Order: sequence, then C-alpha cells, then structure tokens
Amino acid sequence: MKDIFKLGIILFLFCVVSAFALGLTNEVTKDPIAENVAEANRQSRIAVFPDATDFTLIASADESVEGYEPHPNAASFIKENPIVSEVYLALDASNTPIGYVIKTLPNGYGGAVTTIIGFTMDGVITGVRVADHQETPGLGAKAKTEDYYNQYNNLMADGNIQVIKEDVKEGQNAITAITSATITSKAVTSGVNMSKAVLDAFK
Amino acid sequence: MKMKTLTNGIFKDNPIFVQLLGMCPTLAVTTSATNGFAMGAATTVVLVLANFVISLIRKLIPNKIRIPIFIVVIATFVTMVGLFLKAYFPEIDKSLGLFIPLIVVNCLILARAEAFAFKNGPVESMLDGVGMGLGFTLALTILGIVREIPGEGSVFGIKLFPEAFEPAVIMILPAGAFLALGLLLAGNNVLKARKHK
Repeated sequence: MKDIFKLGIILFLFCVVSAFALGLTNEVTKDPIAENVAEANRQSRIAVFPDATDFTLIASADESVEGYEPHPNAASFIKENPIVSEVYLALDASNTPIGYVIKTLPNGYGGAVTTIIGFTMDGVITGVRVADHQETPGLGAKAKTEDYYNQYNNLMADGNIQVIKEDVKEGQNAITAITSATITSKAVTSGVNMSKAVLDAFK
Repeated sequence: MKMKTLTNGIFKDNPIFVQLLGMCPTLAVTTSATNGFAMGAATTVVLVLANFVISLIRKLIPNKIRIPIFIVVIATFVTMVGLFLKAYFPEIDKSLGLFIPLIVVNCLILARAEAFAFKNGPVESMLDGVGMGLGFTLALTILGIVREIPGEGSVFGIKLFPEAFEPAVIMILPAGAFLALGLLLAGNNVLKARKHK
C-alpha cells in the first residue's frame, strides 16, 4: 500500500516536470506557429487568385474568429451552406474587389477534402487547390496535382461544373474525373460549385 | 564493443527485418521511398534523444513504473520537437509534420528504452539509437522503393517508365504493404539461412 503511494508520487513528479516543459514550449512557439499558419493560408489564397494583392475575410464558419467585419449575409449563408468554411473578398492593388476566395470542406472518400477556390466577380474560376485530405494514395490523392488543378482554370462559376469520364470537349463546362477516383473528383467539384452560391449571396 | 553497438541495429538486429518492431508506421507511411526515408530520419532523431535522456535518468526511475515513465518522456520529447519544427522550420514540418505524432506510438523507441537505454550509459545508448535509427531508415526506404516502383512507376518521385505504364495501385494501398514486407522478410531469411550453412 505504501509502495503504491510512493510510486504514484514519483510518476506524478515526472508528469509535473514534463507538463511544465510542454507548457513552456507551447508558450514560446504559440505565436510563431500562428504566424506561419496565417502566412501559409495567405499563400494558398494567392495561388488560387494570382491577380489579387490582398484578401479580406467576410464570412467564417468558425465563430471564435474575431477581428473582421462579417458581411451582412454571412451568418445566414454559412448556415445554409455548411460545407463553406471561409469566404474572402479578393482585392486588387487599388483595393477594388475583383473576386472571391473560398475555403470549402466537401466530403470525399476518406472524409473532408479541404478545397480552396478563387473566382472573379464575373464568375470565372481563377484557381483551385486541395489542402488537407485523407484520400487514397495513388487514386484520390492525385487531386493534389497541377494537372488536376489546371482543369478548373477559366471554367464558369455557374454552380454546374460537371464531372465526366471522357476528355472534356471545347466549350464544355466540365472536368475529367481522376481515374478510379470519381468520388474525390466529385467532392472537389462540389466545393468549386459553391462559387455560384457565394456570388449570389455576397455580390 | 562500441562499433558493434552501432552496427547491430543496421544489420544483425535490424528493427524491421529482424525485430519486427514499429510495424504501424512501417506499413502506413512507406507508400513512397521519400516518405519512408523521412519517417526513418524523424524517428532516428527522437530515438537518439529519448535513449540519451532515459539513460541519464535511469537511476531515478523505479523499476515498477518504468514503462509509463518512458512513455511520458518520449511523448514529451516528440511534442516539443513537433512544436519547435512547426514554429521555426515550417518547411521541414510540411514534409515531416504528418509523421511526428506517429513517432510517439512507435514501439521501436519504447523497446530500445526498455532493452538498452535503461541498462546502459548515455554514450552507448546514443550509439544504439543511431544504429537502430539508421537500420530503421534503411529498412523503410527499401520498403518504400519496393512499393513505389510498381505502385507509382517512380523512385523518390522520379518517373521510371513511359506514360503507357499502368501502375499496380495495390502496392501503395495497405495490402501492398503486407505483400512487400512479407516478400522482403522472406528474402532476408533466405540470405540468413544460406549464411548458416
């Protein structure tokens, strides 16, 4: 019995020391990590909207995010379209709004596929990127390639981009699905197709 | 004596091909040679540090509760390394970040703490960590190469075959991990049996 207490206290002391070390590490690294994440997000927004120089958050599904001015329609839009998690207004050098960048979380084969989409006010897709995902390596994971991304460039943001198995013909508003990964292709496309709803709600 | 501590891990007691330790990360991340190598490198760093620290404090650890203490020490280390990488080396974190939490549950590190670092001095324990780490890295890289060539038609991301090559995707799916590991183990055993004759 006495032994148990003694061992328990020793184990407790080890845990106290490591908890203290972790707390200290967290305190030191917290701010640089937040900066890195913000910078990485900014880079991915530039990647999907190369013409924009700045981005303003106008709607976010995360209620803990503060320090931005939500668009009047933001709350109702997020409620109706739960797969959209963030909407940014893309601004050019003279601060004129030229389009939107949105982050969506459509469901793929292995869970949410974080998809970032840029499009202009006139409804032309400027770029698509896939960030975090758990799709199958060699199949769905191929959504993370330049060849796949480029298929979306200059398509119409009419909310009706099709996923087909054949090659896309001239003038068709569609993409060719990744071989054996139609579910992933459709998931990414459903994220891209949210662009129409965003234009309707925020323009 | 010391040289042997180092080389034991690479060949005679290779953690994957002989001891069959750390199978979860081995099977899960070796979808490409690059991934296998990165996982091996990250594990090696943690293994050396964990062996060193545990060997330093081994006299303070009561025998009966050594395992939970090992786990606390290893988990603390891994989390600290992970946070520092995220904060100051975001580029490395991008390629290794995925593997770092996996290292906590890598039983190779726990096994070396238990079997070696708890009984030996800090310098020898570090050597053991380096040896075992190199052996682990070597094995994961070989496994990654064996799976990537048929599975993606490439090695370290460099295409080997013309476009017409249809990759056997099964090799980079979980089933392929078992197939490749089984074949490699069989090969290793054949070599060993020949040596004994």
